[in-house]
Amino acid sequence: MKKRLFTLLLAVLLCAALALPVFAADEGHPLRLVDEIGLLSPQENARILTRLNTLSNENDFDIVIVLMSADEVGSDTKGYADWYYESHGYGMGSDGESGILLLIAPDGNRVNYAYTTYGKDSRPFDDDALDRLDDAFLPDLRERDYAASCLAFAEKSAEIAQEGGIPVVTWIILSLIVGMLLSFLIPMSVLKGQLKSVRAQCAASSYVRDGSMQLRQERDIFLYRNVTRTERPKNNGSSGGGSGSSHSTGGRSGSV
Amino acid sequence: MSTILEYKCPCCGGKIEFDSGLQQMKCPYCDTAFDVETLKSYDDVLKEEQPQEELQWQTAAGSEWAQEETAQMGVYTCQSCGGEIVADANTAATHCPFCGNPVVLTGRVSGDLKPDLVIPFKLDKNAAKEALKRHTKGKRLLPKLFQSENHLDEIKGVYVPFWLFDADVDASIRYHATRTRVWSDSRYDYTETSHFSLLRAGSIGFDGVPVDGSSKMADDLMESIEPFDLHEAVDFQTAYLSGYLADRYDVTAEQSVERANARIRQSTEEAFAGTTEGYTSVIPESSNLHLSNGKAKYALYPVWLLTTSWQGKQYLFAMNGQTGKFVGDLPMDKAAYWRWWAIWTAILGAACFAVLCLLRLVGLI
Repeated sequence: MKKRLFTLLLAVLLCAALALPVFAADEGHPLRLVDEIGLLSPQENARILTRLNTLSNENDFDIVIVLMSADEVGSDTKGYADWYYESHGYGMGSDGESGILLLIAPDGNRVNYAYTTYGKDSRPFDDDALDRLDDAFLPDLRERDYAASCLAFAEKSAEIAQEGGIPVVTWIILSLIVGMLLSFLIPMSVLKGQLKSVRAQCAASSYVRDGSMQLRQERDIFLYRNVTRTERPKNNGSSGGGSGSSHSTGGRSGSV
Repeated sequence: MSTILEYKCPCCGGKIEFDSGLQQMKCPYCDTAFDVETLKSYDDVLKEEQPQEELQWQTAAGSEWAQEETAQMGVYTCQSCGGEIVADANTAATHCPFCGNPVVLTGRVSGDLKPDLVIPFKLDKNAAKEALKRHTKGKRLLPKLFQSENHLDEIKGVYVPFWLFDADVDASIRYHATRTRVWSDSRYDYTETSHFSLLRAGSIGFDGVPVDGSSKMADDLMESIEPFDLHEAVDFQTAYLSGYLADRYDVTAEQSVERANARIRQSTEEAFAGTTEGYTSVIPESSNLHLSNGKAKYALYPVWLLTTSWQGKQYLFAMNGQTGKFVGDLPMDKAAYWRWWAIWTAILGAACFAVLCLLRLVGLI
């Protein structure tokens, strides 16, 4: 009985919690994989798109890949990546703007690429993280194995995004533990208390004679005073989102 | 010397009892009601008519009872049917097991053992049954079958002996108190804690702090049905006991005074602590209490006791026969406990998750 209840409880909470970002992300969300030049086979396209959707939802962080012709992109690959991200309404997370977009634009023998990061949840993407990201997907891109390169980019991006915050599953487990403790502390003790009504009286306030209390002496003597001070947490000046247009928080571009 | 007293209706000779609804003595046979004072006079006449019977201590020859056991028992003869009533040494009122007539063992409530006050029953047996039903309603963890399957084994109205303590208390209490003030500038948060020594001295009076004088009654059960309204207490008359059970005290006032002192001390400290307002924390450091004009009264308080059994276990409930306050611990359905725990965990877990999401949304985490 208890085991069944636990299973049911966990299932309901997990479904509810996991459904939240999935619905938020996929309903009306722009495609996370855009292959305008047919570099990926339909099977590869489907596999990568599924993976991008899963990783994005799991981490509440948009991971997007766009394959576009160099003619379309022009010379400023990074600028085009920024424009694409902003103009197509990508972004997830607490500010609704967080994510990363990789733009791949083959140009003859060269392949231009750029990726751009957005939002508060992209904070873990510092220089070290970007180096690790380059190491993950550039080798396959050099080999012109676009599918492998895209997958490597997606996996590594998700891994780095995870470093910045608590995964949703941890949040759910944390919430459950707090819920368990709170239910013991408040509602269950109240329900249990309804069954117990026999309690010894420790006082006799019902039997105080009316008007019998007379205060003869009432002295409040100040003894000493101490003051403690703690340094205030420094404001790091985080932007805090806002409703205006978003701006790239970082990224790189190059050719291989 | 203990004798048996039955109240007989002057009209028809039937047994009469105290009616809690009328607050009078009433004959169940001819419905005639009598004032308690009238019955007191009748009681006196009865005593004059009947020579004082001797206490009929009886221990059968060759009995296997130990001497201490027989000393705690008495055998009396019912004046209505002649049946023998066996009662323990503390029983003051009971019923004849043969004819059901209410009897009062007057020797148990006379002389030094005579109570000063009695609060007559205001609520009857039906009220106690209804209170039991209400007591078991709306308890989510109570086994569902308890209400339908529990069997009311016994319900009895008992006058329980209580010692009532009056006292004037002179108190001198010292507290350590703190007051905190918090402010900030651009770099630091400051907390200033001021420490004070508070002295409160004065007096307070208590009237009728009750302590259960029967070792048969659980102290916590009796304290749970408090308070009794002492203003409705009347001078003791044996007539009030008719129709109910009654015990005489077997815990003396001297033995009870410690309990009364503990309760008086607690209430005094609480009352004086109420005069120390405006502080963040107040902790008593020392307290000196002196009791004066302390005196104890012996009273009988009305209590309905109900015993039910369910699944081989007995459950005892008590109801204040004056105010109707009903108490008694109930069994718990463990399956229901875990079911409700799971439901509340889901609700609070979801709420906690929602709060976390909200905090994340506003950028606090």
